[in-house]
Amino acid sequence: MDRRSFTKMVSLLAVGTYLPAIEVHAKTYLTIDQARKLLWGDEAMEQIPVTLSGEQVKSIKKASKVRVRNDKLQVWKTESGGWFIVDQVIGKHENIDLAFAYDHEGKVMGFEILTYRETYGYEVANPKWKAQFNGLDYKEHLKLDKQIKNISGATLSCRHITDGINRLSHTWEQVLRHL
Amino acid sequence: MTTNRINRCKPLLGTYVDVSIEADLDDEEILDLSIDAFSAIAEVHEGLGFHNPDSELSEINRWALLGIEDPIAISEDMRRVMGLALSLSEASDGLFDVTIAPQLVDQGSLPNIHHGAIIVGSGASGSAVAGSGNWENVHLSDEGLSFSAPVLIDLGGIAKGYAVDKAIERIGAGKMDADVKLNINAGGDLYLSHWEEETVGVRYPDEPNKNHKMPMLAPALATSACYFTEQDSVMIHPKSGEATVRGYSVSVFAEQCMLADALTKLAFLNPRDTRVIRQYKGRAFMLDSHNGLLEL
Repeated sequence: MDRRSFTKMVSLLAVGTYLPAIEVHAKTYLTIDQARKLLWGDEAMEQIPVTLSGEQVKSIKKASKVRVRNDKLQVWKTESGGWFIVDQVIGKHENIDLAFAYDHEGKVMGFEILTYRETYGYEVANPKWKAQFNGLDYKEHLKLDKQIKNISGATLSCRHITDGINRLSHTWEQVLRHL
Repeated sequence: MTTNRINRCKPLLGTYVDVSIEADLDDEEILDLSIDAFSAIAEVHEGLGFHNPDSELSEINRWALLGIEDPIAISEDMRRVMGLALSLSEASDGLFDVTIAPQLVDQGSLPNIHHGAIIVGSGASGSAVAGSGNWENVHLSDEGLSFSAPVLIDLGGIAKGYAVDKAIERIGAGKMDADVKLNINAGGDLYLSHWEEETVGVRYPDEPNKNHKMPMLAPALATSACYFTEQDSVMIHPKSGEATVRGYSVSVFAEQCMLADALTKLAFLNPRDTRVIRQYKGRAFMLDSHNGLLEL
């Protein structure tokens, strides 16, 4: 670094407002329990272990035209035959945990965003960064709330959520309805 | 009672809408306020959206495309949004113009849901829409909207901000006597009820994972830029009809989100002239990685 740019940098530091803050835009909204209450009230439900077979993964992908990234489902069957599903939607720049309510006919009754993370370049490729989100322990995510909360200036499209709903609707059609 | 808090996020208005409420209310009451906020936003999403063929805007567009001079009755939402839109068009001599939808359809940023109605001809830019009017052909009266030439309207540059304002009003009406601290962020259209004590991070247009921190200067802030070029984030210059790509973002602070949202379009297209922005008591800033933040 030459002297001039060094001086420039020091003066910028002195001003103090120029240096951009590098921060991951991540935010925790509801816990699984809160979402469950919001979507299903006090209706009783039971978690059912479901692992999709290779065949099912292929056929859901074919029907929904959406890639199935995880063969293990986090699903609860409710007393009325509906489903509470916790799932993840991954777009080019975003990675979102959601909770969905499907009724006994496979219709989406509602969904809630649990955690929202925006990802750019290096974060996606960095296994350490990714590792902090493995598992669905939302208590762990709460500390992300310390990130700056008011951000202006990004308009990410939310079409990946539509893809996620489409994929889960086909998952219900092909797998859950038979359980 | 201690302060309770809820923070929810829903995909609406083509983006993620984040609603955060803090108040001395119980779980049920605070949840109800969040439901009120999202339903107000959903009403705007459904009524004023270009994409939905059943929206009020689409119905109006079917009339507008024919240039029908008999007024069509409109909702209060439509009246408020079109009222400000047309005032801004007049004040800016057409730099703000909600009738640029044909160009947006033409270049694929908006869906062509009014099939056959749009005639793509060879205008000045080679892709302009033949036979279409502009904001001067849109007339707002007590009876509704009427049109003196065929136009197609898109409220993408103003409705998102209005949706946030409507949610704020709805919460204001439902909160009774409670002191409510409210933050709503609709993809960068931001409203903070207790803005005096808040800071905000404005994203760098070329590096969206970095942001520039600054104090909030008013309750509402909106930012416009071409952030994600692989997406449909474009701005059409109403005069030339061409898509405008710039390396900077502009942010406008104002009293209302609808105003902030709309004024960013003026600041973006002509950052040198801030007369209209000042007239509406906005404060505009430009941000890019080379020059940092500049007040316009």
